[in-house]
Amino acid sequence: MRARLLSKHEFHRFLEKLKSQGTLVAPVKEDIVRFKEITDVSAITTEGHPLFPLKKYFSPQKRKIFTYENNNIEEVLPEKQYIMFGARLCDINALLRLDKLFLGDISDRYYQRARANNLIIGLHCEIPPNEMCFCESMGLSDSGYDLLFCDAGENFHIKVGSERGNALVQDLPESDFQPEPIKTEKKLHNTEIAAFFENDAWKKEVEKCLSCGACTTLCPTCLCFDVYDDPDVEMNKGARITEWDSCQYEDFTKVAGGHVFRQAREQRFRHRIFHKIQYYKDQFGEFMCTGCGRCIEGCPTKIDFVEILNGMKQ
Amino acid sequence: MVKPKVAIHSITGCAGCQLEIYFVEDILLQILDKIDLVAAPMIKEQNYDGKVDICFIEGSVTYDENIEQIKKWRENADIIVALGACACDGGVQQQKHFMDKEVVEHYVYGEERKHLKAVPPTPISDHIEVDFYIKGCPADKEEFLWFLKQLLVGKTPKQYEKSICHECKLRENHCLLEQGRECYGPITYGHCSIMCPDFNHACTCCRGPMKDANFEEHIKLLVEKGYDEQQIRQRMQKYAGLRVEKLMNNDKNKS
Amino acid sequence: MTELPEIATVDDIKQQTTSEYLIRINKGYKHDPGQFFQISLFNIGEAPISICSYDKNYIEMSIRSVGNVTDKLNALQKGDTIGIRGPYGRGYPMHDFKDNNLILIGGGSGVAPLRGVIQYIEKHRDDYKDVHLFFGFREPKEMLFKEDIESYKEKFDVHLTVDHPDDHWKGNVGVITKLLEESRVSNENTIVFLCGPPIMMKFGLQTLEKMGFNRDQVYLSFERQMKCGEKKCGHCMMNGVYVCKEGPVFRYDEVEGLSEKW
Repeated sequence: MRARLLSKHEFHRFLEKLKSQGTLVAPVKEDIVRFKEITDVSAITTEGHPLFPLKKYFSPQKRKIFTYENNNIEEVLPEKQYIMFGARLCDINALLRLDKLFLGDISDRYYQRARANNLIIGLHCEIPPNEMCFCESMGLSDSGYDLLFCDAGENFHIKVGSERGNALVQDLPESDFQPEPIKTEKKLHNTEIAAFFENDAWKKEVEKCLSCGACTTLCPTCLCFDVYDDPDVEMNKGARITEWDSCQYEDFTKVAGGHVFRQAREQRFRHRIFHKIQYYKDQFGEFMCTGCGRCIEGCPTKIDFVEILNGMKQ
Repeated sequence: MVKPKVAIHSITGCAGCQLEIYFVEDILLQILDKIDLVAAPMIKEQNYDGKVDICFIEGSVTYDENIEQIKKWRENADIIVALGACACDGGVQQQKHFMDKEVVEHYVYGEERKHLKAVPPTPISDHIEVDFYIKGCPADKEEFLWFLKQLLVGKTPKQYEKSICHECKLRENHCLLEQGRECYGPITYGHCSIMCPDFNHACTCCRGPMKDANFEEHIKLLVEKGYDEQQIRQRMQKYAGLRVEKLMNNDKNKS
Repeated sequence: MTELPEIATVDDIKQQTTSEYLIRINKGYKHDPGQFFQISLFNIGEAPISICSYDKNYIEMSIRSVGNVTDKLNALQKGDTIGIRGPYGRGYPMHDFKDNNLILIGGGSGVAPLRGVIQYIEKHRDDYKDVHLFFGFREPKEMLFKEDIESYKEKFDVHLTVDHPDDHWKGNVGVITKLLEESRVSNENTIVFLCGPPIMMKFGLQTLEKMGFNRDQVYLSFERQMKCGEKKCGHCMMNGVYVCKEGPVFRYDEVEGLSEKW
């Protein structure tokens, strides 16, 4: 499908049109940039990178899988239909990575429904929005969006990724634009890390880890969860909940009887990195990490796993 | 179904935790329908003194009679829940351990202090076995409710193990540390509704340190941000200094 | 997470030891020995439980009280209902073992899934040659499936041991690996099932190696925290391997290189 051209003068009108078709979500600059539900389209920014990723719209932090009353179960599925504007390629790729886990042998129906419902309008990074970005090293694919906005001064060129996207822009003039691949200053040089599992650098570099879990909370591909029942005060009913969990806590691997399989801080940290760079790739042939840099940006002590890996020698 | 007998008792403290939990107004009546609240001196005139299923205790031990009292409650209860920072960790008053006792008592009571029979304040777990802890100054009513519901369905509640930082990030707050503030979120237990950082107040560690808190590195981080090391150490002592000290000694012994 | 629990009824519940009960539920599922189900009680929660039977009409589980869910399961009565979803994971590939001798080594509650294997063998007895059972328990009073084990003595080569005997115990005393070594069972055309606490599996592997068994002759079963059983929640990962899906049963050579296995 051909790309289209939108004059920036028409940008707000276009956003208004989106808003009329569902719940519009887009980056808003407040004290920091956040993805928010939009009431006023003039609040939307195309600068910067929301610190918190999009995953909450596909599998919320606390989510009812089903409610129960006595022995009757009712499955809970997403109600809202989101139209998301301003997702960067790292965020869009993060969803493609999560698809492999959540739409695998046994699909997660909530996630599946949200993926089918939600419309994704990307925003191409002419310049990486953050100095921690290193997506150039992570093999992002130019796909996964319904539309992709590319800033070209006076205009946006809009790449079309789906029929649903095309329907939104088919009235606009066509364009032949092809965006440049994203270049990032920061790069992950060592991407083959199997040999780095036993390496003194883990202990040394991870000494300043506070095990607070901020990295996993902010990661666009971290969706590990806990499952528990939340009884209603009336006791004969309640809900089974999934809640985001984090491998950075000791309890994550604790089994009945009390044994913890990843006790040391550096083991927990290393597991996160190995999952993102090695284990997932072993299974699916691509990195789980999409190079968004949030885990570094949001780390209280600014532990930089990219630099740690780059510093390791075979 | 027989309703479980519940008691809510208090020793030395400000009684703020009790006050907090009675503020679950919207469902208070529903809860009272599920339990038999046999003792709650703050809101009840007639209080029963015998066997109960669940006993919540707020406050810390600050004189010998407190010890006798909580031992009796322990004997009478199947489950003891320490309610709030004082009961869990000693609370604000346990700072006395890190100060000159004479100076503190003189400052507060002047010459009258000679009649005092006070002992250095300690958490109730120093004297009796405690089954569960609802941390915080004050205890959070939502967490109280969460605990109570689990106990009512016959479950052993799981102590919450994640940090304030984890939850604060979920709230998408602008990181206070990032803004140069003296925040203890990364090393403090969460599950407090993140009231402080939500309102732009840095976390003061009122729920006490996580079991694997990395104190030394957090101190380093705050020193780098320009805070005085001694002041940082004092701040960490504010609500749970005894436990902070214990954990720090463990760290030292490990390394 | 996706699969919703079905409701099943407890048909029978029997106390086995002070902390273990055998629960039979009225629903049958097609499954392999060594697989597990997620069993739940509303308001209480869910736990992964291995199957200790092999029958198309019902499943049996030996449940040890170790937490909220298992405590409550063991307090159920005939006619009570539970939630069940599964089966999950990879069990023992029994087809691949045809015409082999089998050695089943179980320690403590690790004997439970092996009982499912034995019931499978009994239904397909002609497919397998000699069957040796080596079961160890801490104390005689902790022995599971006493009556079953008695009946196995007539059909298979059975070895039993306890760590701490009581006054009535007349059998072997000591670790199971000793018993295994003394038995001098041959390693030829033989498959070993090793199921029990990590320490027992570790020493078991050493003994088997001494006895000349290859890594691809030994099958282990691992325990991990498993919240979903669907390779999503992340808790069960052993390095890059999802124990809930790719396991819990592994051939030893598949996991030998994983540093997080113990």
